[in-house]
Amino acid sequence: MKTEFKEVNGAYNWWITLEDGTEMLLDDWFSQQPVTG
Amino acid sequence: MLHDSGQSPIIILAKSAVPMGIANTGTIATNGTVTLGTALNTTYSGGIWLYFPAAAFAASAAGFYWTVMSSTTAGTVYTSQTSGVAVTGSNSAYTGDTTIRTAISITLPGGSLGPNGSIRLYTNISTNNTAGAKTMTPALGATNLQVISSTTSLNNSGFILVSNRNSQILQRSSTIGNASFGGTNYPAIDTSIDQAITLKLTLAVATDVLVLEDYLIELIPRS
Repeated sequence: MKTEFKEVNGAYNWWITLEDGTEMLLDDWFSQQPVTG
Repeated sequence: MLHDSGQSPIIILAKSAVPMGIANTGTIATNGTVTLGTALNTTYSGGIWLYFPAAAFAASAAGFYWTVMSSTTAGTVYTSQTSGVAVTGSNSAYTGDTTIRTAISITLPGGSLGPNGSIRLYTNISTNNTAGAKTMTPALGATNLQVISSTTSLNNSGFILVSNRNSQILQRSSTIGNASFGGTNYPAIDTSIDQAITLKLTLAVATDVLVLEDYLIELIPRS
């Protein structure tokens, strides 16, 4: 996986590119993970 | 092996003192001037990345925006770090974001740690003195490590040592530092594949102050 801080629609956020090539906001990816810690 | 000794390279994965924070409730004028409702702890005249919620200014998306402050409450929000172009505000108030937001993300390459390697994380956050929680959550992959959560302390540092325990999938996470710590002391993260090391910020109260002031993340690989 790869993460990148970049501008989309004028705002800068961290984006993650998954193994299958899907790109999404890293914060959204975190919200989909099982809660650990 | 009872203990480890000898030389090992120390690799700086990431370090920065460029501040990143959550913008507390305020207003952005049409000329791009932001007025925060609560003063930050210093004037970030060199610039700061501030997280604004959606529609904080005209049709804006939620995210970090480069802001150059002229006081502890006032500054100019720009379209980028280098554009010199101010955003167009709406003169309407926005409410500070209170959702957990990723400020920093660094890739720990798969296998780079080794079965006995360590990661050292040093972080510092500045906050205001209120009852509301201001939290910095470091994470390795999807697992949160020990959290720095402050209420009344203005300056909060945390030091975390995460070490593989003769395995690439079993770790110990130890901390020294102030404030309260939650998180996982015995993570089980697969470091044989790429994982993200992230620093995340959360304001519990939209009018409070939270800035990630600096951080240093080091990799000490060990076979």
